[in-house]
Amino acid sequence: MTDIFKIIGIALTGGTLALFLKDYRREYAMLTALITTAVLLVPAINILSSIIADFASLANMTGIRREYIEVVVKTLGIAYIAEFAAQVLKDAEQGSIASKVELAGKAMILYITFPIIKEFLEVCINAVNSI
Amino acid sequence: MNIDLIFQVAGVGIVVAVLYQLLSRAGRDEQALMVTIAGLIAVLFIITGEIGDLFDSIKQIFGL
Repeated sequence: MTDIFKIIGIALTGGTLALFLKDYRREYAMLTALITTAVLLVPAINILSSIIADFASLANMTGIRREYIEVVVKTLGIAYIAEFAAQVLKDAEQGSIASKVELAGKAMILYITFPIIKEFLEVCINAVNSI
Repeated sequence: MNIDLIFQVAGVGIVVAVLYQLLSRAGRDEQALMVTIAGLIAVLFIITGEIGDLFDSIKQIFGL
């Protein structure tokens, strides 16, 4: 677990450089922060990928349908990536664009999860009707 | 983890900041603006590659 020290070192270096550049050229501060977050996200996502594979095999044992797990994983991915972009934009004081990115992410998540919600509601309606 | 990219971007930023100061003090404001834009494009070239790689790996891992 020496990776976490590496990550902290990169984060502190990138943050210091971005802070220094903020006084001189603000757009470079934003780009430095962007590349720092991108560099930091790569190992985190790689670690997450092995966990997701384990999670999928665990779900297979319980007999849950594959589509449900896929939806959960997709939602996680959209949430991570929308959060990544929105946070960088917020730091660059572009709050309005950031909130639109978040809105688009929420819309995407709803679009992906809606078939399952529909299926669940149909099951509920059938159960109520059969009483 | 490729820390070189952070130093590249920050280094371009520092060089552009110094050149901007020098050129604007010398009264060449339009050239200072050109230096800023050129630096920005160079940095965007570096960044798009890395962000594209990140998005590709996220797409592949989360099955988007």
